[in-house]
Amino acid sequence: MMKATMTNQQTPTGTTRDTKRNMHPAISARIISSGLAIASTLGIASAFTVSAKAETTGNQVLNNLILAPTQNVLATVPATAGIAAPTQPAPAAATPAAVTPAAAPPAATAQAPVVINIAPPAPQAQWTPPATTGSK
Amino acid sequence: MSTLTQEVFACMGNTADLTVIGDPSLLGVARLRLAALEQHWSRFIASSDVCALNSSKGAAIRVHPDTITLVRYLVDAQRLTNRVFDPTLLPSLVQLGYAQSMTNAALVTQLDGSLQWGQPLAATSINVENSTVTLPAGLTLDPGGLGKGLAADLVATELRELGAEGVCISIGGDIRCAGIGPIDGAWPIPVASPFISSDILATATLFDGAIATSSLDAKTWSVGNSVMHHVLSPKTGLPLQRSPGQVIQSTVIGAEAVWAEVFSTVVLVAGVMEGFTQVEAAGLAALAVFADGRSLESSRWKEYTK
Repeated sequence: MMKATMTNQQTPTGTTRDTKRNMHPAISARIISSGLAIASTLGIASAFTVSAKAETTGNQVLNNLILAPTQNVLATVPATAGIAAPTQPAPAAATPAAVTPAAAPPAATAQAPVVINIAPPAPQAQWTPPATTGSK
Repeated sequence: MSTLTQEVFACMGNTADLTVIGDPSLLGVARLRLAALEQHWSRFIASSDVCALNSSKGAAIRVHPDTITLVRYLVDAQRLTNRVFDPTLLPSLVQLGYAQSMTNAALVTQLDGSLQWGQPLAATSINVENSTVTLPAGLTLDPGGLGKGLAADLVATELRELGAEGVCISIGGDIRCAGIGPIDGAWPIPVASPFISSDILATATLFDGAIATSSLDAKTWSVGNSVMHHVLSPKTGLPLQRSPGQVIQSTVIGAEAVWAEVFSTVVLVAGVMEGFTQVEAAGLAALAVFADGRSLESSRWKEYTK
């Protein structure tokens, strides 16, 4: 059952709209950077391996190694690498998480006053909090 | 620009109430994730990992990695609470008449009649590399509220990693909040009275945190003239007796719903003396309500309800 869908901020023009985004930019960046890191690691690792082997063996070994490194590296990653160890009981945060303060604006210099149109405060989100009950 | 979307739906034999601040499509992600966890963890679904373990008779069972996580919490919870929280009581619960799901009559827990209850899980073997669990022969697992709390924790954490600015998820009253809430950045959560559910005993203001409540009045059924409930004594295997000094509802606040749920059960089962001792030692906060209407707060309760 859909209870509510609404925005709680306004655009500068005072109209509301949803931002449609398939993927958070930070996630996209993380995927790209992870991919680059893996590719880089694979490339460096295989280059070192190929270089070391090539000094002592012939071209046949070299050819075999060129085809193998990706499989070799991935095979070392356990299938359950994503399993985290259980946590211990801990208290909940009693205050909001600390937010890094924005950089202070440059010192004001004498200038002509500027008229600023102050937008009305964002509407309070219509949210129905779930009660905690022993209904389990 | 943030969008607040709230949805209520059936989940794990109960009701889930999910709020996401951010991309509304994340609600769909959460629903799929919760459905998958239920398929792995339900004691009523014959194909689940939990049912496979409960009929394993000491054999190693390959399970989903999420079930590895679940079993590790079940074992840790029994050990950390000195077996006051006991997830091995399923044979007794079934014998008392709670074999059939209360939300789907077609789902019935099937157990071997020779099983034991009230035994330590310390001998459970968990192989993370192979994703296998070997439960001591004769023992069973009932994830119960711990499974719901853990599911809330996992989904809230994953939605935040997927970009949600704020998440609040309740599964049957086990609630996990993460990120920015809709009311001045917080998530105010009412604690319902065990006597009149529309009455609010207190409102806990959470930021990143969790709250869970256990009650004797949930999940009841009748056997003859007797009304049974599902909170069993780990010593007798029988439902806790209702007396004037008995705690009938306990609420615990902690960082994670899984531990809030565990310790809310501890206060209910062990009473305030032993229960609050464990709650305080873990740094958590608790509110206990007695059958005669009195209530008692642990020392940290006011930090969240002032």
